[in-house]
Amino acid sequence: MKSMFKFIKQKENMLLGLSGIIVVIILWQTVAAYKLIDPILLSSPIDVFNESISLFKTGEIYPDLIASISEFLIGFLLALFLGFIFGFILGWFKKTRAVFNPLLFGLYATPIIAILPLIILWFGFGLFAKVSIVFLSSFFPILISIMESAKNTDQNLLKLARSFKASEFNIITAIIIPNSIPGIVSGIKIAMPRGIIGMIIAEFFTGNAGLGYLISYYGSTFQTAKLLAIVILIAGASVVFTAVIDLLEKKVKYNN
Amino acid sequence: MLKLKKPFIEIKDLSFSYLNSKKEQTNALDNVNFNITKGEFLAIVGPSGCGKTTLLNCLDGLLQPSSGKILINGEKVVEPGFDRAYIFQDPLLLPWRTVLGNIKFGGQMQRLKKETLDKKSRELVRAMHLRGFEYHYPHQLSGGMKQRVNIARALCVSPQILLLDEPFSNLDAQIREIMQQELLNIYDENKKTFIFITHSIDEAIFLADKIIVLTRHPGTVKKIINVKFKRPRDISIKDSKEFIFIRREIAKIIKDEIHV
Ligand SMILES: Nc1ncnc2c1ncn2[C@@H]1O[C@H](COP(=O)(O)OP(=O)(O)OP(=O)(O)O)[C@@H](O)[C@H]1O
Ligand SMILES: [Mg+2]
Repeated sequence: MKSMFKFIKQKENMLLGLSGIIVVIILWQTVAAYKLIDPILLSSPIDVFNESISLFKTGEIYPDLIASISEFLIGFLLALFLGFIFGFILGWFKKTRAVFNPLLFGLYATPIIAILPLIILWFGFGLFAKVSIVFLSSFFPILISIMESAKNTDQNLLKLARSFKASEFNIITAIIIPNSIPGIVSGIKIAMPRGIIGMIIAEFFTGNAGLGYLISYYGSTFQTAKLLAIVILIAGASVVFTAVIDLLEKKVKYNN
Repeated sequence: MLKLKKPFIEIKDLSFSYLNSKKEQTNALDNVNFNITKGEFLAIVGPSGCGKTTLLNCLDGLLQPSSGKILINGEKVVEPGFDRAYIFQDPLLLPWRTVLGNIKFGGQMQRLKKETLDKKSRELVRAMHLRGFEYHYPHQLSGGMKQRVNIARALCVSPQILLLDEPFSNLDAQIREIMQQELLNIYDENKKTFIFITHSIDEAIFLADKIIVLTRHPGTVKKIINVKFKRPRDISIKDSKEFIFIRREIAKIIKDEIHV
């Protein structure tokens, strides 16, 4: 009994959060069961749950799921890789940074979705256009947070390295890069949801594959339960990703 | 005529001024002259802001004198060198490296052989009483232990000259005394040249063979005092008449410097 109380005390916030979700689901189920809202506008949670299972069982979701995952992975990893390289270059070389800084912050502030029609015009409706949107949505936050943390490296650590006659290359690999890891993680944290949003909207508009396409298709054919199943799937994935990054962030925080 | 042997380190007419972004000058050192013998333990004291850190930076080659020069073995100092290691006031440990990783840092920057570095760093862990903490991270260490890692990191590159900028000033009194004794042991074992900045007159007398007293800002040499206690030294010399005499002499000079 005592240990039970202790458990509740320790996980208090988690349990409170869970109870919030449960209350909403119960309310939602009640509203749906008594048909207070037209099922075409809002399906019951049980229907949504059943549809989620059958989407996987029948394999209906797989082609679009795979399309989305590959768009996201290609675009995001590319953004990570190039953001990493250019972030360090711009963080380290003052003059180069001075040239690109206003441009970068301008592009960072631009909602990338606004240039989607242009991207479609250039690259068509295929994979490449969607990868580009994921890339552009996530590249700038990653680049900027790496650049900022590389630029803000403790001057004393640089002095320490210089007192040991460290080469420029060694200074970058032994000090600047490890020092920026927390910055890299927080960049990923900002970039990831942006990438997902970019991907979904790009799929709405190109309308041929992906989870975004499925959502718009189920919407236009009034398959509300399936639509909600996909939305919840995406939300769930985002929550899991964010939790993983939070964990990573705690790990790399060096506690000083 | 007797042929004079060249001193190990010569500081000749050294002046240094900082320039700010508006090109205004702050004179930090003004015409400093003294020599250091090989294997000597030299302490530098002087009022706060008189240019001690600046002088040490010039000795390491991190700063270039505005005029005058520093010669080591007859060669002009123009940049940091493998013969010198700088021990900063803050331990400046890399938070993402373990104790062992931090000790090896300098050696890695100097591309020393891996086996040499492994061996040397293990020896230093033992010598600096860090055994059992090899794989701890800096945030898991006490202030004294951090400073030991800092010193071990410098010793790991086997320098001929150690430059120490108030390494014990952030430690509490008891730890400080222990560290002073340990530093003396290191000095006795290694016979390297130590150049040690401190605010504590007692510390300077206890450790050094020669004490340079600087004037207030901009610093220049006010007096050079030789300290002749036998080595190895222990804490009991702090109660001797001679110790108290030298302490009084230096305290008076510094007091006069502050109050003119
Ligand atoms: N980067 C800098 N730019 C401009 N002036 C500086 C700079 N660093 C130090 N100074 C000035 O130069 C003078 C000497 O500074 P320095 O740090 O060498 O003194 P110090 O003797 O080490 O002082 P402390 O005992 O407080 O450590 C001081 O007047 C200080 O204000
Ligand atoms: Mg100083």
